[in-house]
Amino acid sequence: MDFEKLTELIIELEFDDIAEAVKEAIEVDEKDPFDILNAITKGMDEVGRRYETEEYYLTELVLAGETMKEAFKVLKPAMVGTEKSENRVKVIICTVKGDNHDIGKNLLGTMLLSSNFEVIDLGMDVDAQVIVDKVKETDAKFVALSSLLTMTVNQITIVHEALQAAGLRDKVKLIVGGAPLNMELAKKLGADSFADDAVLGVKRIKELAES
Amino acid sequence: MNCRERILAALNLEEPDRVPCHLILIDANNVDKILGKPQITDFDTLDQVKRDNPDNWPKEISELIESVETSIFSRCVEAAIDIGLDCMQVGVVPVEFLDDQSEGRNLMKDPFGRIWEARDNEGNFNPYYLYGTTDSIEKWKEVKDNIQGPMTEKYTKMVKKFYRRINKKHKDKIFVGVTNDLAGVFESASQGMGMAFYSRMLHKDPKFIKEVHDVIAEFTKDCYMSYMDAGAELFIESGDLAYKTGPMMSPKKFYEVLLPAYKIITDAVHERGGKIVLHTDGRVTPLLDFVVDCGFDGLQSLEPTAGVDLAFVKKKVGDKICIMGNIDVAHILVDATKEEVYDAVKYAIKTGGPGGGFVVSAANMHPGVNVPNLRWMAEATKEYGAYPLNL
Repeated sequence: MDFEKLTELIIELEFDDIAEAVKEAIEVDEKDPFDILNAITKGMDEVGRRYETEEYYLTELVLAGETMKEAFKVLKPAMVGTEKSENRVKVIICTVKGDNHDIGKNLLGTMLLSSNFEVIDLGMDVDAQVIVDKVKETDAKFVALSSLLTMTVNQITIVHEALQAAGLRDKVKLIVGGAPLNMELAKKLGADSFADDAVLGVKRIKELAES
Repeated sequence: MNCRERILAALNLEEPDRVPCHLILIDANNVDKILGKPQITDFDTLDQVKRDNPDNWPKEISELIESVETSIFSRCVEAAIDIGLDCMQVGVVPVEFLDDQSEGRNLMKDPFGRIWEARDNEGNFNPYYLYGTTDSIEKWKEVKDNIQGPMTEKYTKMVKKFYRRINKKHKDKIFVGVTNDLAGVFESASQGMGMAFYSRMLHKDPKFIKEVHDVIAEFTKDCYMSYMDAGAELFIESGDLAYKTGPMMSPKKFYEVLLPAYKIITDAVHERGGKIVLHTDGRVTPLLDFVVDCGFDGLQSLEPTAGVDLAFVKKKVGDKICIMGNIDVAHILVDATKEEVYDAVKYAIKTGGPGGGFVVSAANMHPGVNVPNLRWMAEATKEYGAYPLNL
């Protein structure tokens, strides 16, 4: 199984075939799991590019996420315990308290995984204190919050203030996304950055991680 | 002109006496602010039923849903009259409480496999979508049999009674349209299946997705025909085909898997002389031709915060469909000043109003919208919307 083929399976959204291909690459060809991850990342980058140029739409992005999930079922066990795996930057993702939308959050999660971040997904409708506790426990460098509802954007401020009160605000970057938001409002609410969608979200987190 | 004539003129792409004003909904907490809080709230009723019948309350409260929804929507129309709108839409939301309430969250289900939570909005029911359960072909077959059989029978009867009651009470003061808000074809399918399974099947077997849409469209058509039997003339199909940055799927796929379903509905409504508008949030601009080709008479929302340019929409399809909306619900109708609201309405009328075929309307609705801002929107429409326009 060559790397180009793995990349192509991701680009072509072949969710039924990817797990078997990754398995073959690990078990038969004895490829390094992180080289496999690089091949998958290339595929996801191309998916992101096609999304930005409106060749792909949300349904394809969701499907790319599904394809990634299938790949990671096989890849993740092979990565666990390796040095590269231990050194990954941790990102906590969740939908804010009062909001149960998760499409954007899930997409961000799978795209971050493909970019070799460690993703800690707290799910939906998450209380600020749970986020604070998880930052303490994991030493995560990023908290990515999703709020699709106008009514719940104030939760961003609540999380920001809870992190401040716990003395953690300077240790994490807070990035937010969701329909009612823009960069100006996000910063007003206490976030460090904003992204319109998951593709941009990964870009912003990469930029911040490298800065 | 009365409210009905004003709205129908706009939908016929004519200039009414003035630009009409419409909302897709007024949230119940705001209805309470306008009309005063009722002595017994929805949640008071729910709590009472739970106390009286702790073992079988979900079934009992499900049987009361029709009267609860009639009361909610009737009060919503009354509030719309108070504000001075020309049109408000009403519609049965087809939900029942789940028998298993072990999660303790007042969970409801709908015929398409969606699970909802009845959230407490200051004592009022606020249905909130949680997740879909139709995540296999086998489950879809069960859902399909249920939709085509018992659900069609139940809801075609229910909607007739529901609409007749509300319209009879309010028709002299406002034009009462019909919506299938929360039960539109696309969202019922994609949310009922969950976006992951929906996307998988769209990729693997688009014919399956087309069938799902068609079955839901037939159900919708049957319900709409019942509404028409009770006197309804205007329908607002709830779409949500787009999100903030663009369409949910490519316009080409929408043509392939959704246009035939929408044609089932629009053709049936037109055959009986009715009008039908599509509501969709998000950046709908790439789908304007699709909306026209599906046979809709109008397009509602035109969300400014999703980057929809009203001038572009007017130029591209303003001579083919009525355009409705564009008043922002992120700032303008939430915490803006009177002057800002007036400016937004003036801009909308100046841009969308020339030649007719335009309705001032909020891009969407949520409980955080401010009642004075709604009143300013209606006042400004009356002050600046008279034809010939002078802006």
